[in-house]
Amino acid sequence: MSQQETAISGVFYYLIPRTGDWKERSRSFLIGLAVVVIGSLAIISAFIGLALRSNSGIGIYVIVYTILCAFVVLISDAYRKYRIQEKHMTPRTGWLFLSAIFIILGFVSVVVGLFWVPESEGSLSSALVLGGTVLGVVVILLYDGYPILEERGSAGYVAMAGLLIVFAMVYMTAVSWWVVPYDPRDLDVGPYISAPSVQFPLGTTSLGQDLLSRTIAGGGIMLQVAVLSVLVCFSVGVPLGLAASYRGGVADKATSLVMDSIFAFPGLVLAIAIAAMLGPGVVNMALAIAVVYIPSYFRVIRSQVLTVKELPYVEAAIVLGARDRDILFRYVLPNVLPSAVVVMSINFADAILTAAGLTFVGLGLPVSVPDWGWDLTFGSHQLIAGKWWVITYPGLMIVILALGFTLAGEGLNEILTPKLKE
Amino acid sequence: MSLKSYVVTRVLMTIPMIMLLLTFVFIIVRILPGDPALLHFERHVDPETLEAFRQTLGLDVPILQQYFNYLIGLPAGDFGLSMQDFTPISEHIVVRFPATLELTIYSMIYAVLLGVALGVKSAKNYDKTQDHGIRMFGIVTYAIPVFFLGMILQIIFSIWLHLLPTGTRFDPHYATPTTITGMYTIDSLLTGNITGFVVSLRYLILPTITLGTILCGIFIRLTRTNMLETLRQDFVVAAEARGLSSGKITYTYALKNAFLPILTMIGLQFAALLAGAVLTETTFSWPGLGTYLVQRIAHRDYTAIQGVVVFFGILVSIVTLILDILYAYLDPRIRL
Repeated sequence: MSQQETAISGVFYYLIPRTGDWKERSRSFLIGLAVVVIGSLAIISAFIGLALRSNSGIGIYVIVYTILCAFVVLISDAYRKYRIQEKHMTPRTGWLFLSAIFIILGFVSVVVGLFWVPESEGSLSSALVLGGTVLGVVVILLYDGYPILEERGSAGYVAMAGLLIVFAMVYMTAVSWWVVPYDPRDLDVGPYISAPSVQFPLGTTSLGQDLLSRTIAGGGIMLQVAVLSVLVCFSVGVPLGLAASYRGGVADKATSLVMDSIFAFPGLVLAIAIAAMLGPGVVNMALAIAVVYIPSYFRVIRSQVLTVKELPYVEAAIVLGARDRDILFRYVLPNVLPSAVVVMSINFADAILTAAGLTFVGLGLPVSVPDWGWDLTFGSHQLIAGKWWVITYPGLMIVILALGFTLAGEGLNEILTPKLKE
Repeated sequence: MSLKSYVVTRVLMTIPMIMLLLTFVFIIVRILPGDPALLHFERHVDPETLEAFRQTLGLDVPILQQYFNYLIGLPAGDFGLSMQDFTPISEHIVVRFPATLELTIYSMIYAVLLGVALGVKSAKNYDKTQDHGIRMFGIVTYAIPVFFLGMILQIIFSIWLHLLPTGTRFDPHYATPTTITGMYTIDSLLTGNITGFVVSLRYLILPTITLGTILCGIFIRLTRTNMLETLRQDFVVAAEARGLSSGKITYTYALKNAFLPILTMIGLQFAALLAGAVLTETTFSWPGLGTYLVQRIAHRDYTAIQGVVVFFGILVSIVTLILDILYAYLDPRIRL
């Protein structure tokens, strides 16, 4: 595909069939277009339907606003590509331009959230910023990334599917508080453990909370814990792996021994021990999980560095008298980072599952906070009475979120570390 | 290196690992939260009770002395006293561990059999629908929280269909098998108690499927990769040229060669297996060590948590050590 074609059409390029006679081509074009239009309409109307039911009444603003943001991003991205194509812009200024668009959108969101919407609270602006940004990223991903990943074959599709699932979840969580039909923290909004009905589409919990609201809003804790723990893991594991393996010697042996002993330990059991001691809380949960997964980064980085270190261009740099800092950050790090990204993606899934496990054994957060792990745990007490809905929906959400990260990791693994390819 | 010296080196390497682990757990439990005794009571408690409490548990001596008491006690099987009822934790471990062991052994067998069978099928149908389906299955099982799968199976097979029992290990209407190993299926077989065997097996099915399914994904992937490599080798082509049946080639020739990495993976997955067992046991109220751990968390029984965690750690190190030695025995290249 030529650069020109990518610039104008992005994902829509693939709607236009290139083989067959005129009749066949127009038919498959119409089918493709219908799928895209109906699919987007279904998703948008589902969100608008939810927003109309929402208790605060401003859900509809949030949805419409974020969709508008996505359109602004889409149009400005097309414009950016066109300008780069016509040599009016360098790629660098193109990205600066796009970042500027994001910043302006964020600023406008804050202003809108604070002044325009009548019954707004302060945190509405943050939902708009988050929602708009996430949707913008999704649009750019599809528009920019889809043709690139598509060329990578099935691995590209897998990675893209995973990333889209993850972003959809993040978007849902970002705008959740304004689109839920009931306040997910409120008790007694309906009867106790009632089966799914028109008023409560997914049923209610044993405390009379609306399960639909809790399912929509429940991802926040999981995502916070996962992001925090992955950040800690990454920022400890990667530098440690780099330093230990590059220097070698006793320090390397000692660090490896410590990491190996943590790695050999049953992860969840160690996390339970740490979380039980630290007490409940998002940060404590994230720390407990982080300790368990630091060794996976360390090990991958270490083995990669040991291979890269022996490569001729690194030896050449040493012979030429390059500083250690330069060798490490400019020659070695860029080559080992892709593996760390793959580990990170799988690590997200692990962190979510471990967080759910910690909640399940009673080390989670207080009742009032909507959390899938908590609903699942509490629902397990109703299981014996055959109340399936209390566990099914929160559980499925955890599975979908973890699946998104796993798929992304799986796809990225094949793309970024091509030597594993068949 | 001879097998003997390999074993010696490997054992010597395990000792610092276990020591590190013990120290790590000790630091987490005794130093990180400040005072576990105060944490246990949550709110204000009169100083005399607290002092007596500390004295019984041996928490009144200086921290370094506590550390050495703890290290010296462990080889003799002293895992400390419970904060709740001051019973030795080792007693609970002896009673409850066989249940956990039974569950983990059956789950591992199930996971390996299912994983290898699916992996071989996937490799034989490389890049066909079946291959993609099996790989997808492996990915999905990785993403399911083990307790969620357990609940789903429980609600389908035991609450809706009434096919299998759930909760605890044995039907209270029958006499429990005489305790020899503590594993009901083996005990009942040893004593010739067929009813007992069938009953205990029925109770085992759902937890085993739950835990095994979660673990089989990694075996599917490993078997698939190894089989793909092996099936491409010359000796397979030679066997094909001599007209051997495809089944014989796959299972007798190729699988045998692809099996060594799977053996290593069994060792590596043992830790994951124990972690999964904690959650599976809690889901099915299986009276094993995992349920004990979870119950102790609810009671803020920090010494018991420490005891169980240390036991799990030592167990994993020893199992890994044994499997490594076995692996070295089977594949002499490892010893180099």
